[in-house]
Amino acid sequence: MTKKDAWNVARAALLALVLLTNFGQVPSLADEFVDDLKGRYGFTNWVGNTETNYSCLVTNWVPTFTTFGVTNLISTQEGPWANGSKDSAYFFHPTNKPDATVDLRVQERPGVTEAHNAMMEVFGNCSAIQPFPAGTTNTVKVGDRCYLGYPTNAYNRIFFVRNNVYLSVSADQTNYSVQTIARDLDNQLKAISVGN
Amino acid sequence: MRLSLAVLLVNCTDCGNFTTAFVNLIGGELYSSKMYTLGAGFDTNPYTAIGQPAWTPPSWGWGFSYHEVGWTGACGDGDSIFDPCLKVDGNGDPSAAPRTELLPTGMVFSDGNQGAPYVYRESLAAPGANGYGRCVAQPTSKQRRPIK
Repeated sequence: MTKKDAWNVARAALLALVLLTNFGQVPSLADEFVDDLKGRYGFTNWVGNTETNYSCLVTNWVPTFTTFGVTNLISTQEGPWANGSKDSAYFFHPTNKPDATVDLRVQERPGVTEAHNAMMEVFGNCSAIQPFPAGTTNTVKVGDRCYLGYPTNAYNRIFFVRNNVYLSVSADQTNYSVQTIARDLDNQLKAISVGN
Repeated sequence: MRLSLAVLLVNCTDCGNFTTAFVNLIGGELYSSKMYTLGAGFDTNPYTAIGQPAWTPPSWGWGFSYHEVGWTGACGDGDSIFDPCLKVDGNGDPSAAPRTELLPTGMVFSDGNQGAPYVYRESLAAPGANGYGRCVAQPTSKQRRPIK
């Protein structure tokens, strides 16, 4: 095999690899929807802000489920921790309502601003009418920034950012409030953030 | 698109991407693309959402901040949509009873007017400026997401 043949083989192999790993993928040209959404949430007024000055970021966090009585998770999908980021999903039946299923999504980011952006990216994939009501307007105070899903008086969907972590806590039943679970998770994050 | 064994709910983006991925795997040519107007959601007619009882509104009422479907070609007005996420009313005026569920497959998005024959845009969006007027094809949102 000549040097030119070897080069052609290498190029063909590289092309095949690129095609296999990106087969059919066409990225979106525009992300104007998320940008518009940020405007509707007044994003620039609060991005990067926290309730208090934290002593550290949360790193490679795993929720402690036993504090709210859950020992048998249905499913745990914990992503790798890399470059200060980790995406995880947990599904469980709450101890006080075993017929309900709670879906907990956690997005850890390398900074507060990145976590706020992560929340907006998630909201950008929600087809529900937005902006979601702020938690504070419905006396739900968890995280540095908190929003409620619908129906707002059921409290079965709470989205919040504490420090550099975005959490989505959702129950599949409107008659199960996830407020207690959200508060517990928030307390865990707060304790880490203030250095306890 | 991230496939999971433990997903509890799907929304239109999930459905649009499932449809696009599976159709393209067998030689089709779909994109997942959105309809919306920046700054506001749009009102809808009653529909039957995937996994929900017939003609039952979602917990936020009859409206969407955006809607996403499988779409052909340039994902514009004259292109066809495939929407497994919901069934529209296929029985005459989609904004009024009686209603018959119709799964939108190969349905033209918009013919430019709200009257009969009823195509997808007026079947989904409520009549008027806050519905039909804001349910606008956004071809720059068209994409094929990676499968992880």
